[in-house]
Amino acid sequence: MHDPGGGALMGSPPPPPPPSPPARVVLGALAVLLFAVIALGLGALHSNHLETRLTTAAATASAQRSDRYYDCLSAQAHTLITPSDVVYLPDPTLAAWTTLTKVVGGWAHVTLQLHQANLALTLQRSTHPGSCDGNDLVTVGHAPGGHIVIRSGS
Amino acid sequence: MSPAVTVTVTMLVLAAAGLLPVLLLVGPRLVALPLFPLAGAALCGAAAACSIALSWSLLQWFVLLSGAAFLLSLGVFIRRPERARRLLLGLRRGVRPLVALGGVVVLAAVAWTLRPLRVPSVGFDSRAIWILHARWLRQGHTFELAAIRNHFLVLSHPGYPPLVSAVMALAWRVSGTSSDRVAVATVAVLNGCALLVAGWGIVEAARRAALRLHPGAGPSRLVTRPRLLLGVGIVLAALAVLVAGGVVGTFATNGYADPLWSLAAVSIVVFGLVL
Repeated sequence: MHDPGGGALMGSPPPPPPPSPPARVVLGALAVLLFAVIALGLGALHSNHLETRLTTAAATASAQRSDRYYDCLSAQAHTLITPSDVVYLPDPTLAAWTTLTKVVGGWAHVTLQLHQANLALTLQRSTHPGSCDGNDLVTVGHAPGGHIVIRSGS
Repeated sequence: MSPAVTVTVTMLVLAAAGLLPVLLLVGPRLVALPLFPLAGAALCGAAAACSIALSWSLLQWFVLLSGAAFLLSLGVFIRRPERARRLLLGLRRGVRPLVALGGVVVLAAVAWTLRPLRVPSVGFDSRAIWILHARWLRQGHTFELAAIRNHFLVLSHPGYPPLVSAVMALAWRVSGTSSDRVAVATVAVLNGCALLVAGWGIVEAARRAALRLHPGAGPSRLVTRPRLLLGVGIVLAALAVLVAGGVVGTFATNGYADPLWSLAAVSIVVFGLVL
C-alpha cells in the first residue's frame, strides 16, 4: 500500500525539490505576463470608456423615454382590456405586433383566431395630448345591442 | 419596497435556497459566496419548468425544490460525517488575508462594471422575451401553458430556458410588484455573480499554482514566490473582469439573459476542465 509518510518514518531523507526552470523559460513567462497585463490594462481602459458612455445623461433620457412609452401603453391597455377578454391583434406590421405583444402578451388572453375574440386591439398614430409618444391603443368590440364600439386608451 | 431592497431580499432568498447544496458540492471556499444565489436561481428555473409542465405555481415548486435540495444535502452530510467535519474545519480556518483581499478586489471590479445599472434601461429582448415570460410565470400553470402553446406568442420564443424569467417572477413575488426595473436589476446582480465566479477562476488558478511552487534560485525566484504569483493572479482577474464588463456592455444591466449563460459557460470550462 502506498504510504506518503512512510519514507519519513523510516528515516530516509525527504525528496529533493524539483529543479528550477531554466532562465530563458522564466524570462519568456515574464514577457508573456507583461504582455497580458498591458493588453488587459488597455482593454480595461477601453471598457471603462464604453461603460461611461452608457451612463451619460442622453442614455438615461433615452431609457426613461422608452420606459415611459411602455408604461403609458400598459396603463392604456389595462383600461381597455379586462382579464376575461379574448383579444385579437389584427395589426399586420411586425413592429406593431412586437409592441403589442410586449404590452399585453404577459397578462391578456390573445389569439390569432378572430372568431374566438371579443375585442380587437390596434396601435394607432395619435396627436392627442394624452397619447403615448404619438401612439394610442384602440379597441374594437361589440356592444350588447350588436353595435360596434371603438374605444381609445388615451 | 424599493428596487434595491427587493433585489437584496431576492438575492438572500436565492442564496438561502442554494446555500447547503453549494457547501456540499464546492465546500467552504470563497467562490461559494456568489454561487449561493446562482444555485438558488437554478432551483428557481427548475421550479418554473415543473410549474409549466405539471401544475402548481412557481413559488410552490421553488419552496418544494429548495426544501428537497436542503434535505438531500443535509442527508449527505449526516451520512458522511467526515464531509461535515471538513466543512466545519474549513469554516473555522477562515480565509487567508491575501485571498480575502483578492475577493475584495475582484468584487470591486465587478461592482464597477455594473455602473450602467444606474440607468433604467430595459433591453428589447428583455421586454419581448424575458419579462414577458416572467409575467406568464407569475400567473400560474394554466396561463403559462396556454401562453407557451399560443401561436400568436411564438415570436417571443416560448421555448427559451425559464431560469432568468423565473428569477424575475420570484423577485416580483418578493416585492409584491411587477416592476420592469426590479426584474432587470435582479438579473443584473445575477450576471455580476456569474462574472465574479468566472473572474475568480484566474485567482484560483494562481492560488493552485502557488501551492505547487518550491522556492527557486536565480531568475526563477521572481516567479516562484507564492504570494507574488497570487498577487499577479488577483491583478489579472480584476483586469479580466473589467474587460469582460466592457465586452458585455449594456447587456449586463438591461435584463438580457445572454451574459448569465455565457459567463456560466466560461466558469464551467475554467473550474470543470482547466482547474
